Amino acid sequence: MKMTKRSTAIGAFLVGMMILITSAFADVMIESGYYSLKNSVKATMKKLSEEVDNFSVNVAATFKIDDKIYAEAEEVCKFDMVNQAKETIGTNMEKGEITESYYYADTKQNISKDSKTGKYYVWNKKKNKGMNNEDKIFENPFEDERVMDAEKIADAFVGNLQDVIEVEEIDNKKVYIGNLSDAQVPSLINAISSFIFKHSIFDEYTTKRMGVPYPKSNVYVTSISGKAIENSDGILESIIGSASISADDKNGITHTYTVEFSFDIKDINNTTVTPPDLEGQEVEYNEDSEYVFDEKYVGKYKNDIVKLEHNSFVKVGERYLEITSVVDGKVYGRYYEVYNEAYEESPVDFEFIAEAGESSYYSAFKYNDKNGEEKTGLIQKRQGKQNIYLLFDVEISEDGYGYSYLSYNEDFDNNFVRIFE
Amino acid sequence: MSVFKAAYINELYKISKRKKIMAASILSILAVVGAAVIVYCLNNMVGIRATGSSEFSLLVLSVLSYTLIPLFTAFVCIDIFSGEFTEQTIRLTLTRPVSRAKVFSAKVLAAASFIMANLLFIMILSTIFSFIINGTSFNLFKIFLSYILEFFPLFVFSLVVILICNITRGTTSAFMLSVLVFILFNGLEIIFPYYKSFFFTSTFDWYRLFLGSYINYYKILRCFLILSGYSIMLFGLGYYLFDKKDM
Amino acid sequence: MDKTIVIENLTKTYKNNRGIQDIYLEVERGDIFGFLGPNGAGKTTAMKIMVGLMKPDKGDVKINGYSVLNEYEKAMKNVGCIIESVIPYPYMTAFENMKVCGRFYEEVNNSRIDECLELVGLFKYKNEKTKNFSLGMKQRLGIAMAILSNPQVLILDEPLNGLDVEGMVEMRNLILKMAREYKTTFFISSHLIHDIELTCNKVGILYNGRLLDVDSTDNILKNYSSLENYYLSEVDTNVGV
Repeated sequence: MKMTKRSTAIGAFLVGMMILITSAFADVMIESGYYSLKNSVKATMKKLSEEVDNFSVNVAATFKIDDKIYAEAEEVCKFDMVNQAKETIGTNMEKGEITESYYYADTKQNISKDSKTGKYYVWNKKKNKGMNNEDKIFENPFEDERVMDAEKIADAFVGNLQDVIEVEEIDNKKVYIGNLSDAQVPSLINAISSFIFKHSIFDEYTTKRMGVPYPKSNVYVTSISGKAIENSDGILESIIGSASISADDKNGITHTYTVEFSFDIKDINNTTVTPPDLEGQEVEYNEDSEYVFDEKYVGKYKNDIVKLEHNSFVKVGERYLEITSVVDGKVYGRYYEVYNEAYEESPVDFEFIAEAGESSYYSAFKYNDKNGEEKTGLIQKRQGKQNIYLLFDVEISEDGYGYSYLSYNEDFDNNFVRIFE
Repeated sequence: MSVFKAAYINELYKISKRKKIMAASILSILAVVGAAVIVYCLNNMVGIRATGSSEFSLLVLSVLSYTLIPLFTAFVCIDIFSGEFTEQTIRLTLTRPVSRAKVFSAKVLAAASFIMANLLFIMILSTIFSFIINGTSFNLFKIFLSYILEFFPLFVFSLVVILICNITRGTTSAFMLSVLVFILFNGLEIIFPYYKSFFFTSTFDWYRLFLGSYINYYKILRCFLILSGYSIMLFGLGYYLFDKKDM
Repeated sequence: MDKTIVIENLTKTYKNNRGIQDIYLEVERGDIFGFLGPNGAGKTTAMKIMVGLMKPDKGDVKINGYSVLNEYEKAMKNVGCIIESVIPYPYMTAFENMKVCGRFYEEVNNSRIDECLELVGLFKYKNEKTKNFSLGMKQRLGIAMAILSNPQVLILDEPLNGLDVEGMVEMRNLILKMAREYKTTFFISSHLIHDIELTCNKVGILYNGRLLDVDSTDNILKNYSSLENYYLSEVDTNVGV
């Protein structure tokens, strides 16, 4: 009896553990609808960016209030991955007014069209420039580190909701269906999305401009639903979704704001992207090298060194930027400061050679500061103007496109004005 | 059976005589009132309704099921096990004509009853408040179902605490360890989301599986089996240790 | 004769090698058995096993023919006990403590509880929380709890602990009265030899975990001038061996 009591306890322990382990393993192995859908999205992105030659994407979004359409947007994008060409035709409807947009890009040129005037704008890209990621027309977003981190956060947040996505197999196609009722939307997500909706997307200004009621109170998410279809090749060919938010306007009338969107991928390996026929059209040509310095910038630029003394501005000297020559985009120049006698300080004076690197938006140069340390500075053209922007002590970001200040001197005036003699 | 009934009534009687039960009730009321005030202010000052049409009760559940309710559950389980071990009052029960199996089961059932009572109390309170602040119609069945379902993971947690009580000496160490296990399991679930099915804490929001238009029965079955497996395993192990213990 | 308590080859060894070894003992109905022994001899260990608070390594205890290991509920059905000092639930009153104990017996009702409290002189404190009780009051409450169900067997570990002289006398009279009138069997441990001499009709000596000798008080007093002398000589001879 004594033994059986204990062996019953141990038996119960083992049976419980068996049930726990088998069902937990089953739970791990059986992919939830959420994970399955996520993997499908990833596979689609990977296939589109690496395996497929060309495809078209249709994106459409509709904004409704109480079932009345207020705005609608549609975009047809064609991607030619082999020739790295992309064409986008967009239609926008707001308050019954339709605007269209057109954009074309390939390795040589970007073309856009002003829908009002029918005029084409063409930017010719700089030649001999190696192709890098930034220029790719379509990239797998899941290779971006930020997206990967966001994915982890999303996974933690979704919790048991990941199993409310239903997976069905219809005619060799996988269909994902998800509906979240108001009771299922976690309160935190509800509060955050309501807040963003009220204060960023649909603020008072926007609603006034669009002529729709402003969501003043009782803002909450009523439902979120979506459906995605994966074809036999494992590509999500269609995603549709909608989200509704309920809110009361200032008169206390309840409105339902609904956003619906659809996303279709079609004509895989069956899409051709051709540049628009510009014959007989009004066209304006621009060079992409617009930001690179040329000979016309040779000259002298200056601004004043000003100090605030006894609540009045006092000029204590002048800063000079001299561009002596520009050869193939390389800028040869000198920077120096001249102080008034009463304010004699050790003035800065150095020569530099600035070069446009990866980015054509600025030309960077090395210089030694007052303490003899080597620092990076840069000069920038001001589009369409004769003046120059000069920045000291910056750090060029790793990819070579952006920059940030390492130290910032408030007294320093970046804007240098051309001296015409 | 009458012996078991006596043991069970005794455990309930003892829980009811503790001051903690009063503290638990007051804190529950305060928590619900606090949540109601926050939701009311959010709506009237910022214009955001943190809860959907009727789901203030569910908001309260989702917050309290990770905080106050497991805390009270741990307190009660520690009182009826570790507390009696250290005070040695357990001897008063054990020297009566009642087997240890019945004492253990009665204590577990008393803990379960406490969890259920606590959940129902909070459910009724929050439903009343939800009526006051939202005033709209709401789905009582959904609320009731959610609170009942939340019982199961909390019951597993109480068995975890009971197991800890039978391993550790002293109420403080039992409490610290219980809190640690709760936090650890929740943390592991976030760090290893792929294996979260193994952690009972991942079922703390499983009532959401029942609320939508699509109900994933297989997932619910798996969750239920995981919880049952946990319960049977922990009950067996807890009883084994309790029966072996020299008082 | 009717053997109420049978202890068979009882062995329990603690980690420090102390404990009890191979105790064999029989107590007959109506006996008042005195369990004598120095501190740490294993008296409490033996008694804890008897009432099921501990599990023996070997051996068994039968009370009224039922094994405490296998048929605990039946064995304890007619047993009342005090083990070490009495610790009631401090957050409940004397009456509530009694109530908790009484629920396990069908025949115990509120008037029986009052009767027992009256018997040990605690009736006027019945609605006071026991956390304010003195050691003696707790001991009295323990006795009240032990006799609550009118048990046939009472296993009392140091029952006179903390009692004043008056209490000790009352206690002794109560034991004698119950043995005489209800044929209640007692199993009492005490370090107060004089008290054992006055109360018990049978004495067993436990020393270093072993039972040295069991004899009736009358027999002993024929050969020795007092129980104390008997105890000392028994211990002496056994330590010498």
